[in-house]
Amino acid sequence: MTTHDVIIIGGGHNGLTAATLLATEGKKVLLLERRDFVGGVAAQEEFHKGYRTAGLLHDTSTVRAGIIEQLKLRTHGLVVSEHRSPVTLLSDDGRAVTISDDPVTSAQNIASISQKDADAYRDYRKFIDSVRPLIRNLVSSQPPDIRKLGFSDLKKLLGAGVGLRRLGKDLMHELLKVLPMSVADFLNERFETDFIKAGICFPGVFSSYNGPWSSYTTLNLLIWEATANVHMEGGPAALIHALRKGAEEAGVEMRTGAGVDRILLDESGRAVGVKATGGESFRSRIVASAIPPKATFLNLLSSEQIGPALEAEIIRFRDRGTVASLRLALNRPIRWKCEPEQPIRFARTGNSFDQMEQAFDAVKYRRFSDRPVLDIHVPTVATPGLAPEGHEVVTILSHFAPYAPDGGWTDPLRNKLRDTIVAALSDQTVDLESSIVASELLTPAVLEERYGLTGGQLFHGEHAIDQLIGRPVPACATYSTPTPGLYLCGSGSYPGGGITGAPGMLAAEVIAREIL
Amino acid sequence: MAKKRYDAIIVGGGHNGLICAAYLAKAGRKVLVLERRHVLGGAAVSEEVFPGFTFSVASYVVSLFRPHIIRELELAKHGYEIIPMDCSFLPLPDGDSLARWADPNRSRDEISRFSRKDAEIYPEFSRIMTLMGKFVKQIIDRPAPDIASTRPGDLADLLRLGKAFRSLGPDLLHMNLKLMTMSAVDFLDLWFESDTLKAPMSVSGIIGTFQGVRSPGTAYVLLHHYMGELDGAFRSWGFSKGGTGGVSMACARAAMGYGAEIRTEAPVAGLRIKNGAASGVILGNGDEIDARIVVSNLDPRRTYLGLAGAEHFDPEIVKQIGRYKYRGSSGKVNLALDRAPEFSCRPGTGDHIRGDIAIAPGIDYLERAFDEAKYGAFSKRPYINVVIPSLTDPTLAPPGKHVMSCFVQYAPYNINEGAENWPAQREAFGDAVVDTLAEYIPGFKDIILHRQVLTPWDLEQTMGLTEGNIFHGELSLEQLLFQRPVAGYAKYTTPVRNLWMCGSGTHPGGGIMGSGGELAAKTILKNRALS
Repeated sequence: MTTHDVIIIGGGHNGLTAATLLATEGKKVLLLERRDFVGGVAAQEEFHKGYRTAGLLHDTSTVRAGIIEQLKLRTHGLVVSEHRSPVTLLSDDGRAVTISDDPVTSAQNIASISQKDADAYRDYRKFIDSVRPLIRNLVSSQPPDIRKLGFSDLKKLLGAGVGLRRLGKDLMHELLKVLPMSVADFLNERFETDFIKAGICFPGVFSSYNGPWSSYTTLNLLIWEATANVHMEGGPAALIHALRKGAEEAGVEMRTGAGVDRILLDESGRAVGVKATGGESFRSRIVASAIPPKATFLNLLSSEQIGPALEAEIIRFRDRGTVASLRLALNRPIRWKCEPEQPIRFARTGNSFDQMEQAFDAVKYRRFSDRPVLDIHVPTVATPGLAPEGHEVVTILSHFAPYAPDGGWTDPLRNKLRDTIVAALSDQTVDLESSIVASELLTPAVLEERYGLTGGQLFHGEHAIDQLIGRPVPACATYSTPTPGLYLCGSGSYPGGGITGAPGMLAAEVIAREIL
Repeated sequence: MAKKRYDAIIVGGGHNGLICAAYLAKAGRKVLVLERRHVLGGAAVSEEVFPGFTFSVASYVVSLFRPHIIRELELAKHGYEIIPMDCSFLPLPDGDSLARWADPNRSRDEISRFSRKDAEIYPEFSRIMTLMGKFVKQIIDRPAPDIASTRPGDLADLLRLGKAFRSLGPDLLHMNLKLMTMSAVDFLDLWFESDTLKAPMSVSGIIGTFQGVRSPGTAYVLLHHYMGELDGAFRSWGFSKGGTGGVSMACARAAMGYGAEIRTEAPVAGLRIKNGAASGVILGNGDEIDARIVVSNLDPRRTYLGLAGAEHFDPEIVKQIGRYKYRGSSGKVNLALDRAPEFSCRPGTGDHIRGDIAIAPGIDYLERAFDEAKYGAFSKRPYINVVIPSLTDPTLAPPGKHVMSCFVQYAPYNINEGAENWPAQREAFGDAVVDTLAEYIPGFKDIILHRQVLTPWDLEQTMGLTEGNIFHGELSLEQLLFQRPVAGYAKYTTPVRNLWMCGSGTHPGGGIMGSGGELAAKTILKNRALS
């Protein structure tokens, strides 16, 4: 039996990133993917014959520049620009406004709705610009080990402190003031138009167990705003295409249709390989898991192997899925009520904080929202080839839907959710229903089953402060785990989920050090 | 008559103002306290609302009061006396109930009826929370250093705090992070499984805040309520003998004992400010009184924009004061009862109803109560914290009769029709409370002799609590520590020279702690403002 240096469990974008970075350093890397293709939540999928998505997640704007450079993704065909994609904020009354990377044109657009908000938006972006270096640096660097708090960890914390102090007293006070706030409070201080506020706040509550009135959502909004600065032609699927080519070129051995059944430990308790679901075993010096922490520890290891303390902590890691995905195949381009000049690629609904909050209220009682808020991607605008000529694909991440509704996900309930989301989209569009050729609904429960997302959580675990610092749990906060030879390299590790590649990259740095 | 000049005038005779006065007077300063109302105590007040029935009109239990203040001001000598409460009782609509007792064995037996696992872990939870409480004590018993400051004093304080954090060890450090940021329910979910146990525990996280038990950040307030410390014992709650006003009166007597003057029915209309410095106050009747410093016991908005006036501040400061959030969320219903009430789930008038009684039959119930309030209505089925102090302190009511105090949440200050419409909804709000309680207490309506309903609007009107917030501003992280009320002016100073603050709108915040008054006085004395 051949022995690899590293086995990567899970071929999502973080697994691919870690695998390629390690292979580039001359390590022998085997990547095992349960599904028949790599890519995870970023993979292209044909959901109806002739209609394909550009990924379950839509947003590639926060992929770290370091990854694009180190993995030479441009030479592998990825078209990247350093401007995030425009997104159109939709109001139920037919008004719409498009905001883009350029604060000036964004403000001009907003001015057609409100001059006050246009000015406020320029100030808002100025504020983001001023805190961007600090935040971006924090979420692209190795996390401190809060368990050790040794010299280097203190230096890191001190570094963050120095970066904070470098902002100057007023800006530092302002940042510390707004970070714990709810996005509603934060944006209410600045803007006046309800649907603009709701649209801007969306990344603060995306895939969370929070509504816009929840404290600390500003933190998530600011992290997104500070890191969302690239656009990839073709979306997540194009990223995966380039990552796969990079992995192949670097010599990563990729096996698809190869789920992992167990992580193998030797007598000393060290991870020495994995046993695949097919029965085959693979040996390695290091095992790195890109799948969610709960799946890693609770499914691939036994209670005895991880011990009661870690098991209890992992069980407590919060991973409540709150998002359902709906893919629509349309037999003609989607027609928006707001009649945009350019076809819309990305759009968000929301209308008002209260409506978003009400949408969130539902999941607390294990129900889905009657009036969901939608994060919409129309991938065929940029990549017409995803659908037959003249046809359209629309993919929607709908908030909020529970992982486990009372009574379970029955067929009638699924149909009702589908209809509810279609109705919400119909509010923004003309004759939507008649153009629908096919649809596919993915409830949080289906997301778990299909993508291995425990709890149906898109980020492998909620983005709450206590789960960002010391992520997923303090004992595993620096990608290593209490099991020697076992590492984490997925979205369940710092700095968390979304398509960033950061956990994969930062884990690869740690692993490379380990096997030098 | 020669004009008298005081060293310090304290505006507002709440417990913090009285404590500040007592400390300053004890240090030999000439102090005058001015109270607008006819009674002292602010929100910590006892009043005979109906003949023969004395109520702790607003604040109704004592738990956070700092023991060293009791010692340093010799409050016991001045009548400070606490009757301990040793039960938290939760009646349930299905006829069951849960009583948690000071005696851990009794609690374990009760809890194990709902979850054996929870009963086992309950003492461990208390132990950890006590550890965290001890840690937090180090923060609340000192002024809060400014993170952005480079002054040696602040840096030394920050370093000391850093060391304290580090000394917690990694597990408690992370636990502290969880406490500071998680929701009360999420935090309790880390420990317990029984909804029946978690619901009444989670409510201490929402008292006085416009948040739900599932709102991030509420676990911290849970701790705030776990720091209760009476006679050195953590997590002990009690009633002040004679009502909560007894605490304030003891403070007032202490202050007077040290030589402070106190005037009631002496509303202050404004400050005398010249060249950016306060030099005295102007009373409602036009009289002016000189003082070297003025200390405001009022909340930040009233102090900055009311007492002093926006024109004396930089517009940026006015903006910061404007963004400081109040959003009162609670009301109070005080009932005079013909006899002691009996709960159908556990009849009798024994020890189980001599502590506090929580109407909190489940997390969803509590969260629904919040959801209603979020959109501008009072909860039709609210969270209610009931106490019947006359069961343990018969001086409060005529023989055989009782006073019942109901703390009610949620009653949002900003109701849909606007706060000024609260008077029109006052009785409907009172009805919702009585109707809710009647579901647990058979014949309840028949034993009610009198009823006083205080909405957040009423709390604002009568006690000067802006937007009815009982803590002088929300206890959310961005309004705590060096940011309470405004970064740069968190250490009891204001941008107006010789104008100081000592109320709950300063570090460490609300509740009957006395810390604001104490720390303000100690800072003033150290600052040599009066030397």
